[in-house]
Parts: sequence; C-alpha cells; structure tokens
Amino acid sequence: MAAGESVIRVRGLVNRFGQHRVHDGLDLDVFSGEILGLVGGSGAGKTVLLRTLLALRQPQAGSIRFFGEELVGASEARLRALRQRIGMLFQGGALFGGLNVIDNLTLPLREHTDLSSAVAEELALIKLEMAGLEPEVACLYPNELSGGMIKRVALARALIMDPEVLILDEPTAGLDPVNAAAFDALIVELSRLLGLTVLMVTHDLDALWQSTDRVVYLGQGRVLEQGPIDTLSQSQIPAVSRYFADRRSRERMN
Amino acid sequence: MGAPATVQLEGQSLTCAGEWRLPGVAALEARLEQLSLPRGRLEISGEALEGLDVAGARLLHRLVSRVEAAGGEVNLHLCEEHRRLLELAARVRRPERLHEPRESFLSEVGRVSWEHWWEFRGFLGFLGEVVAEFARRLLRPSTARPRRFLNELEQGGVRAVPIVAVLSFLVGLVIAYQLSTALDTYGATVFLPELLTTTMLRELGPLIVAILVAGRTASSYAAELGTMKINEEIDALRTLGISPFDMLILPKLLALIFALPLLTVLAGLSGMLGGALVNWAVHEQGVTAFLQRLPEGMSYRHFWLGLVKAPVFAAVIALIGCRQGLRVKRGAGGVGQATTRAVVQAIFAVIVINAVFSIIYNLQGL
Repeated sequence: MAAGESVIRVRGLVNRFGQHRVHDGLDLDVFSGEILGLVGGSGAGKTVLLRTLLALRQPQAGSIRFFGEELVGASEARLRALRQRIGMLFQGGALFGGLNVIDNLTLPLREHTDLSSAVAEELALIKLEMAGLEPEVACLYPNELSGGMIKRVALARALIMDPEVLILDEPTAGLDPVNAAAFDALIVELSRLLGLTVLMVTHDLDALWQSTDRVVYLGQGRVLEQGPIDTLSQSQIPAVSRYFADRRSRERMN
Repeated sequence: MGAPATVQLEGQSLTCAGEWRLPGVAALEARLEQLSLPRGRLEISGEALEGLDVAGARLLHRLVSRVEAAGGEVNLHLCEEHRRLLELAARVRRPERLHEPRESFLSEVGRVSWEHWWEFRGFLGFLGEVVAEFARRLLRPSTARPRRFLNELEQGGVRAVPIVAVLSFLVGLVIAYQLSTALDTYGATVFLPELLTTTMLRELGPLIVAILVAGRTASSYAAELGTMKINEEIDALRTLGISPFDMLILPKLLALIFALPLLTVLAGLSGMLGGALVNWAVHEQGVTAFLQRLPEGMSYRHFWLGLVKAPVFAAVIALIGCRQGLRVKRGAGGVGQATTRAVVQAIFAVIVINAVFSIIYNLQGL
C-alpha cells in the first residue's frame, strides 16, 4: 500500500449508549505508515472508538473501512481475515494468565496458521527480541512479570501475526518515565522497521511529542481538531488549548 | 491481497514469488522442507516477491541456513527492505529451556502423591493457624463482626434452605420406597419408620447437607477469596489495618458452623416427611401411625449422633474453601482451579470424616 493512502477510514460514525451520544458523526482517517495519536478528555469516547474499530462493538451508524474494506456489518469470516492484519495492545496487556509467555505469543500462530511449532516458537522469540526482552522470559507466566515487561510481551503478541496496523491503548500508562520513554522509542523504531501504521490513544505529552506524526483531538463526539502536535498544541479551540495547557502544567508540577 | 506465495526450483536457482506474508506463507513451510536442494551454489532470487513479513523472512532464513549447513553457498537477490527483514529474522536467541521437560509416569505419580501429602499438611497448618487466631479473638470479643456473620449466614445458610429441603425430601422418599420393597418380602413393613430414622437422621441427612453445602459454599468461598487475592484486595485490607481473618474467614467459618446443624435438622425432618408420605401411600398408614412407630429413645439418639457431625463438616468445608481461595496465584485460571479443588477436597473430606465417625460410633457401641 502506498504511503499517504488511508488505511483506516471512518465516516459518520455514531455510537450511542441510551440517550448519550458518544460519537456523533465522527470522521477519521489514518494514513499508511503514520503514527497517529488520539487524545481527548475522559469520556470523549477514545476507548469506545478503539472497540468499534476492532469490531468488538457494532456502531449505530456510519462506515469503517480498513484497507478499503467495510468493517461494519462484515461477516465473521471477513472479520477474522481482517483482524489478522491488525495488532492490538490492550491497556493492561491482556496476557492470558494461564499460559506462559511463549504460549501467549504462539497462540494466534497455532490457531490461524499451519506453521510447525518450531517455526512458531522461533517467530515468537524474534518478536520478544524486537520488543527488547531477554529470551529467558519465554517460560515465565504473566504474574511473574513486571508492569514494563507485561507491556513489552503484549506488544510482542500484538506483532505476532505481522500486522500492518498496530492499535495501542495507552501504551505507556502505568510505566515510570524512563520505561515509558524507552517504550515510545521502541514503538517508533518498530513501526519504521516493519512499515507499520500506528494508532495510539495516549495521555502522555512526551509520547505525543516524541513519536506521533499527527494527533487527533476527540471531543463532543467528533474530531475537534487534527494536525501535527506542534500546531495542535497552539490550537485556538478552547477545549483543545485547555487540554494541552492543563497537561503541561501538570507535567511541570511532576 | 496479492498473489499466493510460491517457490520454484530449477537447477541451481530458486525463485520466490507472490506474497510471503502470514497467514498464506505458512502453507509454504512444508513445501520448503521437502525441496531437495542442489549441492554447491544456490541462487535465490526474490525480486518477484510482492511482500515479505517476518514470518516469510524466517522461512527464507531457514532455507538459507539449511543450504549453508550442507556446505553449500547462497547468493541472495533481494531488495534492500527485504534484506533488512531477513537480517531481523535471523536474530533468534534461544533461552536455555523453552518448555518444562515432560515427566515420566512414575515421577508424575510420585510428584502428585507428594503434593497431596503437602496439601494435607498445609491444611493442618491452616487449621492450626485459624484455631490460634480464633483463640486470641476469644479474649477480645470486640473484634467480632456480627454484620458480616449475619450476611454469611444468609448466603450460606438461609439461601440453602429450599434446595436442602427439596433434595432431602426426595432422598427420604426414594429410600422409603426401596426399604418397603425389601421389607415387604419378609412382611416386616412395620419397621419402615425405625429404619428410616437410622438412615435419614443419622447418616444421609447430615451427609446430604454437607455435600450440598460443600458444592454451594466451599466453591463460593474459594472463588470470592481467590478473586480478592488476585485483585490485591486482601493486601489492601491488610494495609488498611483490617485483618482479613476477622473480616473474611472468621465470619464465614462461624456462620457455617452455626448454619449446618440447623440445615441438618431440616434435612432430617423433610427426609422423614418423604418417608411418611411413602408409608401412607404404599402401606396406607397415616402420619400419626408413622410417628407412633418411631422408637422414642432410639430416634433421639440417632438424631443427636447425626447432629454432632454437622459442625465438624461445617468447619472443614469452610476452612477448605477459604484456604484454597487464599492460595490462588495465577490469574483467572487460578480462581477456577481453586474452586474445583475446594469442592473436590471438601466433598472428599466430608465422606472420609463421615466414615471415621461411623467407625468411632461402632467402637463405642452407639
């Protein structure tokens, strides 16, 4: 897919909970090869948007196209094929507690491909290495890992099917600043290396400045403003400028 | 999606084409393994590749290393991007061991027996701890939590009333039917009430209640405490200066010890009611006749002998449930395992203790 083409294309998305409209005609484009940051206040519908993009939730109206293919109302078989091209990193890692690290990583390979277990394990070890982990963690269980390691294993699992799109929900939440900066750098490095398109929800200003090509601000059920972080942080829209002023002062206090 | 991944071998040259990406490239693995590679120099051309990912690159890497291991030489024609991926896919560092070595049958038998032995010792240890803590609490009654106790009493006792009543009624009914068929043969149906008291009041009543409560309550204790453990709620209680023992274990234990004898009385009564119904339907004897047939001293004795067992069952069930819950370590799957273990162990313990009681009663001539 050529750079600049839109990999995810959302048009007129409506998500309602009862009377409450979380998304009200939301339009969003994620272009091939970019790292897009998704920000917005609490309750702005960031997580709901991610869930809708992953087809974990059916929207009330609107269209979502991945690689030009409609997701809303697609059959299970189409969805399964589409999902193999999307990697997802959940906020808490969502590693399977009953499986050790290597089995967590090879599970999708065993389910969806006929690869021999030797190759599946090699691929898992490559992904662990990419995620900056020692191979010795392979036989540990999730409850034996630290918070930073859980994120890295979860990233390795998100990459196991060699997806074209990577979706990250608050990748650096709960990490200390040093670990968070290293994780941001890792995401940038991997996305360049593997030619990934990345969509990430984050509240971390450092991450927004360091790693994103473009940032989208979600508010009032729509995209209020979008652009590179330096223009967005100078935005004249009250809600957006308040968000950035607030974050900055808080970071300064820290 | 691009063309499917293909590979073609002609003499000394191998051509890779199509999209070498997951999931399609996986089908190629077996085909690559079967290729009879020529000796000497192999030209691999990948200019026709439409796509390559890490999985595809790894398969290619395996092919290259196979040729090189056989003493051959490889000349790769790849674009810059694919060459970089190939380098990436070559980096596999293996840990010393990836899987637990599979153990032999004998060592598994040994390990499992050892584990059961330790499980038993662990239970005794937990019992000792609880008794010690409880003794200390007796000196300071102000630590008691009546509200928690009542709450547990409702969950474990009151809510079990309908199922205990119905099931023991049915068991009494079935036992009475079976007994009366056998007694009919000897024309001894008048002994039905007496036999019923022994079975229902002394044996089956307490056992049915204990097994039901083991299934209902031991599992719920294990699941509740296990979930609290993995959510760090138990640690949170400790840091707030609240003893999890006072807050969680003691109310559960006492509530069950209080509730089980009452449930046992209920089970005995409704079992006898079932028997009386059969007596009336089959032998056309009314309830008063049934009651008159009950040997007075005897049935009191059976009643008390049955009732004595109930608090012991209760303590064992509550302790097993709590202990399994507190031992949970590994996430949600651990809670499931703990719940299963709690129910299995509780029912096992109840039946074993019941047998021990029978032996003791017999030796004492009761």
